[in-house]
Amino acid sequence: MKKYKRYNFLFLTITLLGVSGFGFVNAAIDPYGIINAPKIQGLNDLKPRQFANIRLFKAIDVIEQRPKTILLGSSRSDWGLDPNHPAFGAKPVYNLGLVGPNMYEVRRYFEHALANQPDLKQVVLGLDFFMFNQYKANSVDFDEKRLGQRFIRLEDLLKTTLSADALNASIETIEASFQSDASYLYTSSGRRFVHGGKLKDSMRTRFETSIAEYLNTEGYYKRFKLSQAFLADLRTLVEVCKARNIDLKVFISPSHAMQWEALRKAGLWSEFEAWKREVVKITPVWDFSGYNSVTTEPVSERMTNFWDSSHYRKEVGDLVLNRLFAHALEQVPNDFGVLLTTETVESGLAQTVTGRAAWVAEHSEEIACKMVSKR
Amino acid sequence: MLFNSYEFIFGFLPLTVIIFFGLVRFRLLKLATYWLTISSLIFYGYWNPAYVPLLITSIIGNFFFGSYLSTAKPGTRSSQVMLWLGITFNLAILGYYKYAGFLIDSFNHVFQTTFPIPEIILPLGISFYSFTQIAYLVDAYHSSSRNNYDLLTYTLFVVFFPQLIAGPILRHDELIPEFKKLKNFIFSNRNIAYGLTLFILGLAKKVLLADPLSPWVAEVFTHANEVTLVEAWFGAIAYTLQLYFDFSGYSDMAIGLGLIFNIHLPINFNSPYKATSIIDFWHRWHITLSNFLRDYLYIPLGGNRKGSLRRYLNLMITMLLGGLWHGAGWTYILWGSLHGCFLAINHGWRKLGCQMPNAIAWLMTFMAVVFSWVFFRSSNWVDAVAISKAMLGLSSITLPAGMKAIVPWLSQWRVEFAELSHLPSNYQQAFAQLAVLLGGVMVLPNTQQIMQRFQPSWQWAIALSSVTVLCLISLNRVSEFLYFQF
Repeated sequence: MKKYKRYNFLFLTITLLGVSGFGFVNAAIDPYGIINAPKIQGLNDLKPRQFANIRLFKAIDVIEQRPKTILLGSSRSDWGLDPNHPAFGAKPVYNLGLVGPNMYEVRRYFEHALANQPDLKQVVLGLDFFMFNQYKANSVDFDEKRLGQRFIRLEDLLKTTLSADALNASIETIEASFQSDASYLYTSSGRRFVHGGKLKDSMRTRFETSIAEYLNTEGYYKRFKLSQAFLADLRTLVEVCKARNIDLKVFISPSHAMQWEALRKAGLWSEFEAWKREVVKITPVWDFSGYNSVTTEPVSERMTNFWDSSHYRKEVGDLVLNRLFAHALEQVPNDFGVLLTTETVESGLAQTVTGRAAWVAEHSEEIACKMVSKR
Repeated sequence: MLFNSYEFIFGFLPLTVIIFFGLVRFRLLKLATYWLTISSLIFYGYWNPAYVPLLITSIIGNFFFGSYLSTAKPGTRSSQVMLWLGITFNLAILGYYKYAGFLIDSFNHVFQTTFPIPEIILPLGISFYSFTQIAYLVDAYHSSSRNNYDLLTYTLFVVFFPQLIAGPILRHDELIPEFKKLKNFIFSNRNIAYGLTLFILGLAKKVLLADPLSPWVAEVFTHANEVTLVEAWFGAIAYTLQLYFDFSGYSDMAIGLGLIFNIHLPINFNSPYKATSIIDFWHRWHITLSNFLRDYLYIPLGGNRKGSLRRYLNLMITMLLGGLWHGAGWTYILWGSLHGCFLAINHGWRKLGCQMPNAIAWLMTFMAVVFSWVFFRSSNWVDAVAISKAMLGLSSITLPAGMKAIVPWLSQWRVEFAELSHLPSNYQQAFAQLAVLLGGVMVLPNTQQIMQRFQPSWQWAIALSSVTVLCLISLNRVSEFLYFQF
């Protein structure tokens, strides 16, 4: 019987060592950036896998950092709003922008931040039209059970250390760090940036693919129905901020004029206007969309304002924050940002229409050529 | 709780084992039995506590009927009445929770009525524990030996967690004596070694072999009306393999877990895809269910004792109900009746006394089984027919575009070449994977045969540990967002 005892002992020991060794390696590489393992240059300092797991690592960052200022919204906020902007008073600041969220997801992440920081002081919320599309389903990596937690869930910890996926992510992390080759990375306060400041595709390609994807993807411009439930989510967020004395600033993201042309081509312009009318009933909103000196930058390989048709650069994000916080206003172009309220919304919409007419008159050829949507 | 979950492997199992043998060590055998019973109920209730009362009601009801039947004289009017009451009690529970929705839905379809379909969630393992207990009642009625079980032992027999959810289906006279043997309470390193090894082999079958096939199968069966010849065969074969590795893996795990507690559960699979006839197949596939259907349905119906016509009819009824037992749906009934026909043909053929070459016999059997699984897996019979048609080449014959370079001359015979969108993107590798698995189930030894060669050596320990680590890291997935430009 002794040999069976030895076998059992051997089996359990080797298995335990194997599993814990495996978990330890993944924890040390920390490909999702949630364990706060030390970053070693050339080994695990670049974590490209974070980008595909934004709802995971941002939820956990909020638990760890307990920010007093949060920046909410979609990938435009995620990529363009800088937590280190000088206008923020209540620190720490965290960029809690998500990739392709609907308004419900945004509201739940707001509530998650509030659960972890009852003394939340400042919220900046960037809105996008698609976030209110009834057909915009929750993302696959959105996990309700993760939100509102004050600690990392055991399940998340196990998934990110003891899984084959984690191993793949670790290998990818090591490769990227070793070759210093990555595109999207994140700062410790949750802002996305481009490694080396340059993307591989040409600007022209990026504009074309971006527009094609908006037009052809379910949940975006393929079909649209304004969701009353998502409007109610916005209302809830506004009311909670009011009740808890949290300063809330809401704005509509600036995207390039070409993006608005795509939206028009999809036949959604009147829905776009209707959406703005609904939003101002809930809260005043700074509107940076439309045709202004920032969004009508000529499309070229050396653009200073945009990454593609929808994503503005940090420099534009700084201007947005300047406008919202009335900070260094001399830097902000006069036509960039219009405050829409129930009183001003109609004149604001009319202003966009005239702005467009002027722009189209000058750029008709360019528009025609860029609007060739790929399938 | 599922065997293939972290909660079970790292939490429930070690805790249950340690406390059980800890109590035994202090000679608290009764308490240890209580513990095993309670932990089994926790195991069951972890998924949905709301159905624990139903399970307990079923056990207490059956215990009451059973006690009466095993003390009453067999064959008397009163014990007959009690037996039928007991069976009705089980069938009523099963009927309400498993078949009510299906029956109302079918009724609505046939008579164009619109009776509302109640939303009943199927309680886990209800078919298994209902059948186990019906068998117990029948045995108690016939019993020559007086089985007077106490409620605790009887409850443990029904809820013993290794077999509660997915079998093997147990007979009380196999299991209860084991619970009562004093030596079965003694911690045995040998049984632990065999049990753990079996459990891991089963886990590997499920997690490493069956689960990766699941998305391939789903892709084909959710697009039943679009698939072409190659895709349909790919889906059908992949499902044939998935189901086997999944279910037999689960059975292996159950047997292994039983062994850890010194309990010998019956084997449930014996290389079914090596069968050379349908009769042979049913001696190898889900063996405890086959035995149950034979003993408690086929033989009471008259078996083969009332002439060959009645025999075929009995086979048909048995398999039809066996199909329905698997699930409340027409596809299961069709699956059962297919097997009923196959068995009848098989018995008829045997009467003729002709011998077929083994290879052909195997191929025919395997094909019959594959086609029957198409009905088993499809969400409705229309889908099942569509896939079968595609498999028979009755819709157009389309081969993957990549094969045009290899067999261009096939296009002379209405064969088309196109991108097949319901195959995995790396379909060559997927084909190879299926071929290897198929070869494996045809020639490799099954778990029982592997276990006969088991040695408690360090080589075995290392090999098994590696498999375990592989399984454990495959249990979890990080669901990622597929990004492009938003």
